[in-house]
Amino acid sequence: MMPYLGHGVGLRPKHYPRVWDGTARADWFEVIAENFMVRGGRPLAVLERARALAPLVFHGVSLSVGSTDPLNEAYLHDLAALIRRFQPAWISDHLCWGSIGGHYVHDLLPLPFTEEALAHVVARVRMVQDWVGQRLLLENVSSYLTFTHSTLAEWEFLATVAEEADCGILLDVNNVYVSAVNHGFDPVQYLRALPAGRIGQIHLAGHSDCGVYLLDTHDSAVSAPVWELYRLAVRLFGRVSTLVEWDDKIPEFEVVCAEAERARAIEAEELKEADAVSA
Amino acid sequence: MLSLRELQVRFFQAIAGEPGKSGGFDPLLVEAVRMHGSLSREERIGVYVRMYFARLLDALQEDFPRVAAYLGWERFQALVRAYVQAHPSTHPSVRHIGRRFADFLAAQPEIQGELPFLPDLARLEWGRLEVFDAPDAEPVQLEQLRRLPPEDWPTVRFQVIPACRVLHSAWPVHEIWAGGEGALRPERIKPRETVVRIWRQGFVVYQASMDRFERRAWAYVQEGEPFAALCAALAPSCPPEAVVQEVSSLLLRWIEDGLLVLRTSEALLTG
Ligand SMILES: [Fe+2]
Repeated sequence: MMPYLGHGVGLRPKHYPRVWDGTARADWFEVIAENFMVRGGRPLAVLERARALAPLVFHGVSLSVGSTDPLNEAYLHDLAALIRRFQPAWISDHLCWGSIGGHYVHDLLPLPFTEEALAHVVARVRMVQDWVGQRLLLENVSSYLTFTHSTLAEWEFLATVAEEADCGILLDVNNVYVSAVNHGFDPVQYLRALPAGRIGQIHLAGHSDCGVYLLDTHDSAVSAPVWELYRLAVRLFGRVSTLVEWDDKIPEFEVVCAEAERARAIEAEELKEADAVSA
Repeated sequence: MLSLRELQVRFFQAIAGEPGKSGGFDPLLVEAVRMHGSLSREERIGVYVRMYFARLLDALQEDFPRVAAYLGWERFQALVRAYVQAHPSTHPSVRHIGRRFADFLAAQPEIQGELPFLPDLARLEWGRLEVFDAPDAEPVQLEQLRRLPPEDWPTVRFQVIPACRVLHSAWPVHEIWAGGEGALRPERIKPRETVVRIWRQGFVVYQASMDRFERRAWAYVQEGEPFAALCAALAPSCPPEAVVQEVSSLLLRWIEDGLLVLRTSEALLTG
């Protein structure tokens, strides 16, 4: 689906100085595309340096692919211009909506898993891919509510969008786990239902336990059950470019990298075991 | 059953609109949420309501740290709540959320009464953000001008870099800013006509107040007037034999600050 880049880290402003002096080392960097939809100054200069250090991937947060508003052409224009300038290995955004009536909520809101939403999202993903001239990876989001009129399970919805729109999947293992706890489904069933050939990237991140629900905060290390689920993902999907996200209470760059190294070790263990079994 | 559009409109209203009279959520939206576990449907919607506000509050606090400090946390929060209700984000990037915050503050009677300098402090903070990621430019270097034959001086024209804003205020807003987060007491702040230029050099944002002479000269530079016109216009402000000297030293400062680019017709100087 996408080239294998290894185990990368999400690049955030706190670590820009480390990019600037060339000491930020990782297999690859994922950056939030919207942070670079500016006209000049430090962000774009840092991105030029980052590109010289490692392959880049653009991760969007405001495509709002599930919104019933028209696609924001100015946004797509900016995104396409960024792609032309920085040539990311691929681009991704979320299977959700985040704007309506011309207003943005800067959050990843849940869709109902209905035939109506499915047809809508499939058509929109096709439009976006056509606009930017490349395939999009869509990420499953953490959610805190589901809708009574959903007729599909989330994993069915995600898998069907990917097949029908011919896009890839950015599988966020932490989001699967968070939503599984919040809605009482089996995360293993979720992963087993996904089309292996369409998984282009994996996300790992930390969440917070709020007692009666889990909150997707990206402010801590990856939790034990999410590592377990990552093991399963490696067994099911093989070698997939994997990235650690850390967006709040961001620690030193090396701490984020250590999480990526842990993911690398787990991947190696699981693949070795798979080889031993098949030999 | 709600259509996708109806659902989205109602969901947005619940998280970003004004709370309903009864304080509860839209019943049709609540009905559309599946019941599960110990978290009620309203609590599930509430998670999104809190996250929405927390994110925007965070962004505005980062954009306006000094305004937030003068207001105090409680009051800043209350004003942000009213602001984002009145002006929800219209841009895919949260970077633009504070675009109308200064005007919003200026329209609040209690701000005008108690902290009348605050809207301009907000303008200054916003201006700093604006120049931070404004387009890059190649400021003219002193070396380039040194190579200029004296007879070409009268016709040389400059342009101001894009990463520069000029702020007019009835308050010494740059001093209020430099006083740190809440260091100055509002009651001690006295009005004083002030013009501040805010600009970026390299990746660093600077600001400096402009005196009357600099302000007049700046107006001509912004118009793209040649050096000779600049001198002629400023002649009445100082003794005639000093005017070229004064204008030159002003130019020197602007060039050292990286504020000027050469207009295209002079670009041949760089060769
Ligand atoms: Fe993610």
